[in-house]
Amino acid sequence: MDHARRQRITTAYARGQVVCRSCGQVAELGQDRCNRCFAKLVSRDPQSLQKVWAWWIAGIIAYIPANLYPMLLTTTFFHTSESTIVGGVVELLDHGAYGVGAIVFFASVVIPVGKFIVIAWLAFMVSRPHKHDPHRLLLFYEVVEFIGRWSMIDVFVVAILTALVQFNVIATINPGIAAVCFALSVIFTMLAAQSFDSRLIWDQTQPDAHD
Amino acid sequence: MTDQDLPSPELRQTRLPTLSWVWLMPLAAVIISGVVVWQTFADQGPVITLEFPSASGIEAGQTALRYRDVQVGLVERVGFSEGLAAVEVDIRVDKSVAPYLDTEAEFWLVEPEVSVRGITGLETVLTGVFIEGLWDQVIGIPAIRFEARESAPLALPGEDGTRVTLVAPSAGQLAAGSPVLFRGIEVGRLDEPVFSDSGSFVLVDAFIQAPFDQRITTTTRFWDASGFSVSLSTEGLSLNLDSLASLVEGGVSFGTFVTGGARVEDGTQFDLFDSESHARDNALEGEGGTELDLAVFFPEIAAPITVGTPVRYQGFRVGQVTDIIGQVDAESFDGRVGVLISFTVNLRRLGFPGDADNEAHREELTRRVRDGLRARITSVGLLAQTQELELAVLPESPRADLEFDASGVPLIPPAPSATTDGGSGIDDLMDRMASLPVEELFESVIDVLDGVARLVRSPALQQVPENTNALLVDARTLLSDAELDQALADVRTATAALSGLVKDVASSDGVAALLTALEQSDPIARDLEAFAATLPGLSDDLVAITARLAQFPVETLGEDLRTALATANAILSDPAIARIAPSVAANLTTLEALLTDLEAQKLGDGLSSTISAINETAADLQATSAQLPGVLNSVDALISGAAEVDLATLSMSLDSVLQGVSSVVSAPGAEDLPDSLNAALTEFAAVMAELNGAGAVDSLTSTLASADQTLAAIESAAAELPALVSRLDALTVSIASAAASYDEGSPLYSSLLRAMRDVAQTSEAFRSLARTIERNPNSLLTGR
Repeated sequence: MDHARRQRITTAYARGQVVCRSCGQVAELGQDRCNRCFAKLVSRDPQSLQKVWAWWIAGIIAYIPANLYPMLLTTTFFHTSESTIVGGVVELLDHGAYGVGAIVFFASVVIPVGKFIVIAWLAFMVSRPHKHDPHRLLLFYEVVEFIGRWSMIDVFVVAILTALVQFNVIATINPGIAAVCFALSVIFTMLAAQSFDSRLIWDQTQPDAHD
Repeated sequence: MTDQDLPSPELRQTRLPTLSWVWLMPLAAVIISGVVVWQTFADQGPVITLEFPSASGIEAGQTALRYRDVQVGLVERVGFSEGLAAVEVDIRVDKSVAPYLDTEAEFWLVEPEVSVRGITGLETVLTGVFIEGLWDQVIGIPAIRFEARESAPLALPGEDGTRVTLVAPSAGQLAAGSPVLFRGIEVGRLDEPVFSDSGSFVLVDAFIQAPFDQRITTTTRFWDASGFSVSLSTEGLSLNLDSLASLVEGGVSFGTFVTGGARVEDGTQFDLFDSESHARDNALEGEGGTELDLAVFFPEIAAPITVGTPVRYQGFRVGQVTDIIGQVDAESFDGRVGVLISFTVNLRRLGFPGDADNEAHREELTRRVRDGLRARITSVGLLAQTQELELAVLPESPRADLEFDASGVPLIPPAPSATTDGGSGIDDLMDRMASLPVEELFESVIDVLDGVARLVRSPALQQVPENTNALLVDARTLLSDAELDQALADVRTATAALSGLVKDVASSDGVAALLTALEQSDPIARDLEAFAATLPGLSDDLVAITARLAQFPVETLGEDLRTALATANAILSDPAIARIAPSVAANLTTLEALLTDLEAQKLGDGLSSTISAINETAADLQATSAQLPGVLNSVDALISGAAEVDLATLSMSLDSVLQGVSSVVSAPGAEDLPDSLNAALTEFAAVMAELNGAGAVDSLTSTLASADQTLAAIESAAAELPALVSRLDALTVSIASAAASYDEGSPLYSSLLRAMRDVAQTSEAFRSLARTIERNPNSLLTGR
């Protein structure tokens, strides 16, 4: 089945055409600009994987301090407590807030880490001949691109808490350095996902070994 | 057109891919991270390790290290040293202060602390404890390991001053933080008292703050100002209290009594005296000179000398007793125990040359003993209760030489105790007290007490309170009873009524009229009396008349009577006579009525008995009555004589009379007689009728009777008046005394008061009435 479907796939590139990614106008391969919208026409972005890897690395670099440094600085009665992302999740679970803990854990740990893995895997896969189903790869890519923005939920939580809880001596919450790092990491991974040229998925497909 | 037809130059993917600018982002991230990490590590100071006995409140990442209240470090780790002997606290110290953390640095934990001195470290209640560090401003040998102090050091960072060491026999009330006072003002603090190396005394570090430490010189004396001291002496009772704080927490004071001392350095040692007076004595007597150990042996058990007892020479304190041991007298060999008193003296104060050596001192001492230097026990104090050792020069004492005991200490010869003065006086006093008959006195007292106890235990006495109680209850019931009020009200009403009555009596016209009537009845009574007095004479006259009548010539009278009768007949036959008869009848009737009235009047003879003034009249009337039978006898004889009279004669007499009458009648004017007689009789009848009709006699009788009653009543009343007045007086007095014992303002009291007033008014009215009557009895009759 997969095999049969794969055999039917014909890329525009294979047919000597290029599609404008802005307006969908099909043009001849080699044409510089779209006839309709004058957007730059590129059949395959040659720097796509470079950009992916660059953003990916930047995201990883930002993600490390985001987990090491405190996300929240909670001051109650002169007593300052710092909590990192994982520390905060553990604290939530300790207090029995399993739902909130799960959400925070999912948004702050699972999604970013999953994104890193998926993007790296995709980028790695499309750079060489592979036998994976391109449809599945595309699905992965779309999921990653859609879900990546939800990692920002943690940053929003910090921002809202910081804005709301400002009672001087009694209780004050300030964002830690990790909040900035985490936001940067999310931004970088989103950029990495966007830099990925999904058309590359179709280029290096190979027939199954069973063929 | 196929893929193969594509012009090859247009295929850009065949070109080497150029590096994207995006690679700058991870590069920048790496660089920034690297810079941050490097900077963090570069700014970090060294880690020092403090050892605490316990990590009370120290938290990693929280507890700060402060120097002059500025945070200069943070605790990174709290752990244990090798073998869990202590708590190790690793502190990351700021780079700026790290070089100053040399071996001299001190660290201690600042915790909230509540003591008699107040509350300190209160800020740590909220922020948590912190570690305070103290180090000087000189970079010394660096160190990274320190042992923390138990408490804050004496001089806090930034405090200048002088630190001296006080030497005391015992710590007493002194404790870390106790104040150092100068003239009552706190100028410093004490450190924790510690033992000296030998353990025989206590060392206390004292820190005196900067401007005040200039007061401390080598002549300064410190004394214990803890608590308060009371001393009783011939100067009186004195109470010393330096400050309330020092009373609670102890403290030391210092004073510089002698000028000329030099400034002191840190660590100078001072003795701590137990009182200001001792310190002052010590300062005034001065120090210096050689101390010499001496001893004296008293064969007898000496008076209570204790270690530390002053040794005086000519009144000055030259030393003190250092030891007292019992020792068998080696000379007497009788086994009696004497006392060897060791003491030290300051030779300079004894007047020994200051620069002499030991041998010279001994020679000097030997010379002085030969001159009479002796040691003896004296008594000082109010009751000679304090014993002191005195070195006295007694030239007349038995010759003695300076000896030395086994250890070479010079033995001063003893002299008899000089304590007898005060002591013997007290002994005499005690003897006299002992000879008092205390036992007898106490026996008597016991007897008395027994008697008292019996009396108290007697049932009768024990019932007294009950009876008293019952009495009081009764009295209260009585006083609160409404009947008493009622009774008093009745008394009031009665007296008021009485008063009104008396007033009425005094003022009414009735009495006056009565008195007037009585007064007027007086002459009547007198007239009656005179009349009665004439009655016997009247009777005599009647008798004489009757007797003469008996001798009357009746014979002729009969004749005359006949004539008269004839004449009378003629007269009677006269129509005029006929007219007379009704008049006579009327007259007779009137006379009869009058007589009846008079009879009735006579029957109401109470007139004589009632009025004391006319008693005599009654007696006279009685006498008159007694003579009446005689009169009647005379009349009887007359009548019987008349019966014996010859009627003829009588008729003749009568005839003659009648003739006379006839002649009279026939005399001119006789015809007028009946008319005149008639008129006279008519008038008489009218008078009688008037007399009868007017009822004057009745009135008089009734008037007199009632006057009598009234007078009797008044008499008896007047007789009782003084008694009544006196009774009222007594009543008033008793009521007044009773009322005085009652509470003012109560209803009872006011009722009583009103009653008393009324009674007083009544009695006053009575008194005035009685006085008026007494002074002017006429007023009873005439009115006022």
